[in-house]
Amino acid sequence: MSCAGFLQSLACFFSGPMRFKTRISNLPTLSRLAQSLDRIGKFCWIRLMPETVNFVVIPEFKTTQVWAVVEIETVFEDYIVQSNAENVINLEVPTANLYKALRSATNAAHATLRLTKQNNQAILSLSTTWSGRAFGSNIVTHNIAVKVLSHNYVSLVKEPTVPEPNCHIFLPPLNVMKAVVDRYRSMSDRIIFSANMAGELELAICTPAAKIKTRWSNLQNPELDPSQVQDVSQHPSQMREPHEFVEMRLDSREFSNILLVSNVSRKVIACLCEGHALVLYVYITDPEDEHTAVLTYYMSTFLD
Amino acid sequence: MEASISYLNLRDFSKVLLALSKIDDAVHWQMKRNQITLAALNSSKSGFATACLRQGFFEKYVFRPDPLQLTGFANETIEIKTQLRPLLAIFKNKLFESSSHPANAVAASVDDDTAMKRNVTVEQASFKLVTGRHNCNLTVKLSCKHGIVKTFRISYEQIESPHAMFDKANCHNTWTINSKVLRDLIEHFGQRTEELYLEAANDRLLLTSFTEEVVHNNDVLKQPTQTSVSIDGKEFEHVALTQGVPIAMSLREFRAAVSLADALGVDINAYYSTPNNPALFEIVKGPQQDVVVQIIEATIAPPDVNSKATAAAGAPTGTGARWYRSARTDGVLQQAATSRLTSMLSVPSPARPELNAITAAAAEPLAAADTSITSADIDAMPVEPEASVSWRSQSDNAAEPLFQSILFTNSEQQGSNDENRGSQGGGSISYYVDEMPNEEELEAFADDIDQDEEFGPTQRQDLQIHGIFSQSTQR
Repeated sequence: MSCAGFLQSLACFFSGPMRFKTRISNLPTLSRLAQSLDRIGKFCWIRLMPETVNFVVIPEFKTTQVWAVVEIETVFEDYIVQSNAENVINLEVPTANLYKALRSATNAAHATLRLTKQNNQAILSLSTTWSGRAFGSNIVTHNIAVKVLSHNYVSLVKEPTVPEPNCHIFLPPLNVMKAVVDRYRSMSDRIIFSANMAGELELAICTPAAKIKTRWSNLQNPELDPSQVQDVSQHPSQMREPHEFVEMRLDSREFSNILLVSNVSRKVIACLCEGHALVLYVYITDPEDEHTAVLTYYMSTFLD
Repeated sequence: MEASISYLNLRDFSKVLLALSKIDDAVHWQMKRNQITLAALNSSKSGFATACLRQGFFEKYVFRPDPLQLTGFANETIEIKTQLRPLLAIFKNKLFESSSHPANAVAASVDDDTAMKRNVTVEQASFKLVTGRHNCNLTVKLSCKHGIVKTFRISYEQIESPHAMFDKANCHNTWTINSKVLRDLIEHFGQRTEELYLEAANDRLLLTSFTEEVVHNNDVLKQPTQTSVSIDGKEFEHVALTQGVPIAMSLREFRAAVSLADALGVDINAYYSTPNNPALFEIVKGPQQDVVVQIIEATIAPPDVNSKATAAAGAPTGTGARWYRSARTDGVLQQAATSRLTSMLSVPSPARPELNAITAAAAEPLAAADTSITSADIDAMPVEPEASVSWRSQSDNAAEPLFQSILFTNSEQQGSNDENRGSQGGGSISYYVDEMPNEEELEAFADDIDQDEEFGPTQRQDLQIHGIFSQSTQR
């Protein structure tokens, strides 16, 4: 964070009564979400809004970013957020501390998250209640030092724009892919990720020592939603020869880190924008759930 | 000296060594006619641990000292010092894990003894102090399965053991809790945190882990998480605390004490008073108190809170409300008042009549360069049970249950109100919660920013807490 950013965030302290408090109704999901964010980068920008929460991790010097949109009912209840800026609060939170705090709260009877202040330091406080042996209740509180970000600062950060994808496909179960990618990771820095519109996906490595390919078939390709896309028939993915593969080169370590989200993921759609980026939409809720939570991973691809 | 430990106690022995290793790299052995005391003092003299193993702990114990080795002739003692690492390597924990679990040992009857022995890797460990002209060493023999005998020779140095003196009588803060409960709760503390604050508030004990790192403005996010654990008074077997004055100490020694108590499967007792006076954590195991481990730590006042708290507190015992969880009052103190020694070194002092176990009383001041830590001018009888407050003497409280329900405590407190100064804080407002603590209770531990208009420095966390105290003590 730059010095200017810090000063702007300080200015935010004096802008009015800011209040955030919520109970965590689905701790396992939130904890696994924090775990997958921890793998991507060290600091997470959390944007708390009245209806949804955004988790954004943009690590330096990496090719991956994650932009997650979580409707509050999926993990929280009795959620309150208030601020002078249309009830939006932006926080920068260290992901490792957040994950460890949430993880230690498993098996707690209740967990509450709130924003407080201690010695002029903004603190995200996780309080959990444990019932003790003698019918007493013990309270464990974790205080994580965070920074409150000003709107001027966050307006500089924008979600990446990518061209229309050449191919989109539903991925097979991520834990299976993860097993394959973990093997590849120790052998090569680059993984070649290819897919086509006929439901086939291929993961390969190509090194002087070995060439390995893993292919999945009979996968689904999602249908384009006419309300979102102007002319479905003119979409690049529809104009391709279905069996023609789109090929991309990804960093194997970062791809492996992304696949750790498999412990919460339900359905994953991969969109391949040839020569540009791979976008993964990871849904951690089922389609029939009333509220949705989705993480969007953007991975830049390599040309070498 | 020759001693041997059977497989039943080897696991406990290895755990004791492990706990001592967290204090220092070297261990002092003080061997007497009917016990061995292991002691470790850390390099900054801020932590001291001693483990007294009585004759009952050993399968065989023979004390035939070579007169050249003795220190003092009134009570024959041999005092040596060895490195801990070789001992830890010998008594590797995994050798004893499955074999001599305390539960198994208790359940086994004499007939099952041979059956149990079959599962045991090491059947016996024996120690022998060899003092020949050419080789002086401590010989350790592990008799293992299949007739294998492993022999280790460890060199030692003859040097006087340190002693710390601790005055349990003047500790007005004490508590006793099941170690597993405490261990599970302090698992929540992060690995990187170094300091521990103990504070009593509203019938709860608050432990906070803290690290004072110099944090540059830009790296404020690199600060480790600060974790507070608030334990309900009901969880304690016995607790008597004064509100209002928190103390700070190193987390490492505390964790070692709690892990050891949990490994031995017994309760842990704590005694402390005001900041700058040491704190004692005591672990006792065995029907005849065969194993008594005491860990003494220097304490200081927590930096944020100290000036205001101690100034407001006035009297050293603190003016905050006192609260109890058992019927025992503070009157039962039979400790003989002994003089406080502030001398530096191992100066043997005349044995006091109550102490038949200790000869040299060397006061090692727990002093550091920091002026806020004063020297440890404390008196102790680390071994003798009768005169101390903590022991649950059967005579006193035969009818007293260990776990108290709400009904019990309220009536007790009303009864004991007359004797004590009464400002309990538990009278009108009940903080005994059976289910999820309500909003107000959580508010006590968090500075809700709703209450400050501007996120400004006026409403500080520590001032908030004291505000609650003044409400409870002022009735």
